[in-house]
Amino acid sequence: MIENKDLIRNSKVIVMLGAGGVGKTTSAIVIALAAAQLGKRVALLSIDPAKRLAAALGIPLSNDLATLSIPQKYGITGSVAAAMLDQKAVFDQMVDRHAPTRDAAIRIKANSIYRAASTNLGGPLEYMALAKLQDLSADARYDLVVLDTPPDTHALDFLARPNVLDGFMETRVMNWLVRPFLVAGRLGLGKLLSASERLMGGMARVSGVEPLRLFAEFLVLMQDVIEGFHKSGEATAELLQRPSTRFILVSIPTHTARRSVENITRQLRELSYKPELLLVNRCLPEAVTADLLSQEQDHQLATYVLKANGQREVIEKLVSLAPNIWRLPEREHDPGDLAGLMDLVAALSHQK
Amino acid sequence: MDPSDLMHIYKDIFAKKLVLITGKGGIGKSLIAAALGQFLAESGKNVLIVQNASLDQISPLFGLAPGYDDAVRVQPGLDVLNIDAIANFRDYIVEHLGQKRLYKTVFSNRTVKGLINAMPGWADVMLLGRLLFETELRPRHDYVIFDGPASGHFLNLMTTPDSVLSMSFGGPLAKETQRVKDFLSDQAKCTMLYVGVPEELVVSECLDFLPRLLKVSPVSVGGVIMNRTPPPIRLGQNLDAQLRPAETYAVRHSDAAEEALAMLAADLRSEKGSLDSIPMWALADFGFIKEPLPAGFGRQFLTPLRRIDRVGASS
Repeated sequence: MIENKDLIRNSKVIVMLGAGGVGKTTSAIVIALAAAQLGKRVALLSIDPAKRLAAALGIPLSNDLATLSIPQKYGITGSVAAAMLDQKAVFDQMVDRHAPTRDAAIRIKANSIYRAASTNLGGPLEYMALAKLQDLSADARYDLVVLDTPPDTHALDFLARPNVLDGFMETRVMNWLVRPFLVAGRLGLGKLLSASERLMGGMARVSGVEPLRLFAEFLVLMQDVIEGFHKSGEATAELLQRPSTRFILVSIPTHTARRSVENITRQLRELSYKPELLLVNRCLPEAVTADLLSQEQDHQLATYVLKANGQREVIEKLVSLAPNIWRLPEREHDPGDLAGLMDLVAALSHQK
Repeated sequence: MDPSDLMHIYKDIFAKKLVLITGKGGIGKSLIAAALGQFLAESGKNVLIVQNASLDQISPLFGLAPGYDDAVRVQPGLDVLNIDAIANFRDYIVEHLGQKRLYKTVFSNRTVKGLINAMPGWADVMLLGRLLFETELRPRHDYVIFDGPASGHFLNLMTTPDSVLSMSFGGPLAKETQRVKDFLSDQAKCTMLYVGVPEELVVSECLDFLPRLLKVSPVSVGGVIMNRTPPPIRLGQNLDAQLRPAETYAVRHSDAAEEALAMLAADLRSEKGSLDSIPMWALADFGFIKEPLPAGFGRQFLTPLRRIDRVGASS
């Protein structure tokens, strides 16, 4: 049982940040389970590219929350409901919700820019996750929302600009990009370019006209959707600034990961967000480290001695990043099921 | 294996001029790119490592500050370049298309920059185009190594030429896309390395990912590297009673890795067709990578512990 974990107890929103491959999704689930052990009703939003963890937990890959069934023996008094977001589904759902008519929704989905954006673009999923964060934090059924951010170091972009498409809704943009096409629709396409819309013509020389036409159509069709989104973006920015919103950094004890998490912390501070906690995954267990460092020479375990020394060196440098630092042990098997995850929850309780 | 054999061991990889590297996040892709680059540079070749990341993780391995946009010479024969989408777009317009004025009047516009980022596929096509440029059109190096994004994003990157072409755009962009695709499909010039580690979760992801990648990617897979394979631990008998915590840990750790490698070999055996012919190597766990990388690191690091056999046993 986790005692004195005020950090988790007093939070209403927890945002997990870290580079790819440091165990961020696993950590998000562990934090959610730890909070549930404190009696919290937790909503967990995750983007798990491996999808294997979702399978192990019995969570469907869906934008709707599904409650985890946790055996009584783990003594969890709260609950965890999780959603593993899928980009295309999230995007479609947003269009269905905000498009003014059913016909508009069908046309948006047929637009090839939309199709490419909804399946390939990295960005929208994060924004979608933020919109969902907004909904859930206002939902009385949950005490805490844990948000797992995407597995790349661009993750912070969305904190800086909670609404990526905002820029395109500026009148200026709509004017030069969209209007020529509306006009061209009446005058014929040749006129559009001869009318020397400078930017348009210039871009068309590189891309051809078709992508610009599709993009304009995309923006016109998406206008209602984007506006609906814009409002939630503003509210989300406010939500992220609240003291009950906490940022948890996730890393591993290597120099490469240290540089990533230092970079993330710097960006975070520039946005005037403060990380509250740094989780260092995949540390050698304490007893193992102590054992390795106490031996004079050990040829058999030379690799591990090197590892123990190196990890200590990195962790000493990481300490300044957040007021709290918790070390989680590396396990010989992946925590691919609930039992393994609960072991990690137990490891949290040994933190000072 | 004898380190002097490295050129021979990786001969099929080194026969190509462009090597793309991918794999799950956090398993050492950048380190492998750096090791390959250092080894080739120390063998007298000229090498460029290209990244497309928010942070240059390769220059620090050679004791230098992270670079942006411009190539950094990290040691004789080895340059490191971190590509930024916008800067790359500028280079494409100015150098590729020779349209300096067009760039100045149109593309330096803030809104247009936003559009470049938002237009699906544009930045990706131009990133791939840059690889073509560095490898073929204005080759200044014997080898180009692309420290690619993690698996999922990499898969998207590889399908980008087809997605862009299927949107039936016209203009130079479409032509460029076709040219990029043809180049990547050229098995004599391009190859790909998939990097994993011997852990159950990573291996199962690899087994799920590789067939999908082979299906959609124009580039063929030239090899799989299982990084961080722990050293075999040989302890005396009667272990349980005497083991120190570190020994227990090391034994379990190495057993788990062997299990994962066995799983990889067994699954490959049942796999039909394309995966069969891909060579797989286990590289040793170095415990901890100290920076800057010493001279000769690449050679030592890349010397395989062994080749992973698809018969189930390793040799």
